[in-house]
Amino acid sequence: MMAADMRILSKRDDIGAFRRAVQDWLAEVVPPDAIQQMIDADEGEGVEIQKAWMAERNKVGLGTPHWPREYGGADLSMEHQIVLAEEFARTGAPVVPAFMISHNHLPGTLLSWGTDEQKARHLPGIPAGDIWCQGFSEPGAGSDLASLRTRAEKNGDKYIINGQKIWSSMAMYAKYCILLARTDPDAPKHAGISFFLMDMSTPGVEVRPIRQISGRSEFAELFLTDVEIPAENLVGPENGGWKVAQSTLASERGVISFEYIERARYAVEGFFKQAIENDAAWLKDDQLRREFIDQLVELQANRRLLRQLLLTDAYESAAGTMLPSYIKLHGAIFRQQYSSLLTRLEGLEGQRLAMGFEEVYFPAMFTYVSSFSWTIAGGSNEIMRNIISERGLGMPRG
Amino acid sequence: MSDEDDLLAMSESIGKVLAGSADREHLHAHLDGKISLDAELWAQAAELGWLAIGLPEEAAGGLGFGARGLDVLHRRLGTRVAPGPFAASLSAAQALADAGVDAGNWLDRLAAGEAKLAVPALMTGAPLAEATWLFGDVDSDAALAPLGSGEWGLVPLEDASAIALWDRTRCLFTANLDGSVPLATFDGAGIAEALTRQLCLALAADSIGGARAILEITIDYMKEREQFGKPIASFQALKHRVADHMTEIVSGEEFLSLAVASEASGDPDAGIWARLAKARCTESYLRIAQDCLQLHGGVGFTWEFDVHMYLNRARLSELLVAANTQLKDEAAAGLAESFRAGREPLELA
Repeated sequence: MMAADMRILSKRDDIGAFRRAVQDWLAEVVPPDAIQQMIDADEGEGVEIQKAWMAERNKVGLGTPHWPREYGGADLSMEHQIVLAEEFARTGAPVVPAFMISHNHLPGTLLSWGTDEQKARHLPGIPAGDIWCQGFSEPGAGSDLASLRTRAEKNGDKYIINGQKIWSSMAMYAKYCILLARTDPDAPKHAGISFFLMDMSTPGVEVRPIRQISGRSEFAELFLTDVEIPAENLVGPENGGWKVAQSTLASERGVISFEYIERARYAVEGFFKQAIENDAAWLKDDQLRREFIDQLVELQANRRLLRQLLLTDAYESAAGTMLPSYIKLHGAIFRQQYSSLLTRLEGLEGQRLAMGFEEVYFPAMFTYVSSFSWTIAGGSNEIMRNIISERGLGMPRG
Repeated sequence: MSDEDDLLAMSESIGKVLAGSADREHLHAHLDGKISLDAELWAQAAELGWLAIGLPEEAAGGLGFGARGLDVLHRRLGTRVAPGPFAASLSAAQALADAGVDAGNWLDRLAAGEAKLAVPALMTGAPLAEATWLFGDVDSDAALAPLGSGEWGLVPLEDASAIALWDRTRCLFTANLDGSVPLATFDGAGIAEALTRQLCLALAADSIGGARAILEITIDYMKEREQFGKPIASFQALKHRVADHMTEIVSGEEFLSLAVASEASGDPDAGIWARLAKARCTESYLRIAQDCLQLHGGVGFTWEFDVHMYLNRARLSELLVAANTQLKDEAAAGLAESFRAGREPLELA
């Protein structure tokens, strides 16, 4: 890798100077219409913007700032990552959901479970732009993930995969996939699953984009027919994949959620300021104005919960283990209620068909329909309520 | 030890003391008129220095913990639906200290528990009158209240007469003001705002503490109570409601902490967050206490069980200071003003 420009990382010992260096750099590289560019882009263009932005970040050593140095990261502390998230949000720098799995789930898995060879083969490709997708959910295994049925049969030094995966984000752009498949159909459902690294160009892998509620496609279905995966691509022990997957799912410790809610702050604030400037009609409507204020309260509560989670490392402490579940449920409900209110504030004008990019960018209807991804994906609201009441509050299973 | 450690230790010690002195047997005895738990708790609080927790050390012989100290105390008192004029008198004392007025030796007496102040139950700004409903102890030494033409004062109260309330843990009253001469007068601009903020934060803390307490009581009951051969805590339809309530409490606690941090740091926008914390936390308290009664089933409707104490306290808190709709409107105006002034009110305190 080319040696990075050290103008930001050289300031790491002084957090104030670090922040100013980040601000100066962002002022230079993020165009004023960055958010509009994302809104105007179609899906493919959106991915290109994200790749270009990652290349820009790499120039100053901020491609994977949270990774250990030996794998090309900057080994930045949580405090530094918070600064980056805040400043990215403030300037409207592109979000990089296409790299969600590459930046978090893959290293989260490989650093705990991967062989040296697996790490050496796959981690250096990430800063260079490799996109990974996740093959976990199935048509018959959503909230009950462990009931997955995709089969992996050992045949000499390879596994033969047959089955179907769904809700695989960005799979049409992905080079690799982290895959869960059943290696022992006779074992109890959690005990017969294995974790694999799959090359998406392998014969038998078919990707069909799923057209979503917005009309766009970010997810895909994967049809896997006699796909051969070399045995060396097994991660962790055979039939030990459920435990490996727990590391995968725990790998994103809230920084992305924090960055997203910080972006929501600027979106909400910008909307409010503009309404004040334009003397918007809804500001004079007692009910609508009060509902907006109610949502502002929830925004502030969620932002502060996330910041506390990151700063106090509550995630690690016994008392704090439920906090991510509370934040997830609260954040999902906030996004849905806020965006629904937004469509009412915009009135008929907001019903003009217009796309956006990710839920933090307007227009309102796009934000509203996208809010269902927060209430369903990553543990639906109902699953979060089960986790909170059973694991958190000790209420017995029915 | 840091301030944070001190506060945590103080919170634990207050909780431990109240667990003994304000347990449910004492509460029920108070409700039934057998004991005066309000007076007992007040004397205990004075002895243990709780009444000095928020006041400045130099000026008032206080412990100097400011808004954060009061927050700790009121959350604990709310947890136990503790009877007594704490919210009113401590808020009045803190407002006098914050406004920086010359209050003679009142602050020292308040910190030591030698005096109690009442406040208007509604912060309308209307001058104190015979018909004004006051919030605090019926035997308060004085009311901190508006006198008209922009002035506030400490007004002695004669022949105070308590109003029988649904919330038997609190006291509202009216007083005879014939010939009463203010013991002290102040320029009211700063006082009114400081008192509004203090009362909002106190009621918010009391409410979020109470909401968590009644929900925990309800969860324990649901684990014991069996129907159709199973504990009702295992029914998903009920569990999910409880999970939503706890999520509302956790987020409400964090929002209140934001408002308290804002007040403690002298943020010019602290009044916005204090008002919204009162609205959010009292509304959550009421919603949750109401559903806790429902989750208890028939016994929730009885005097013997505790839910009614929480529900009645929640309802009164929701109505005190000002209607929550008005507080939200004031907050909206405050935010607009802050943006216009070029501030960033949404920066997290």
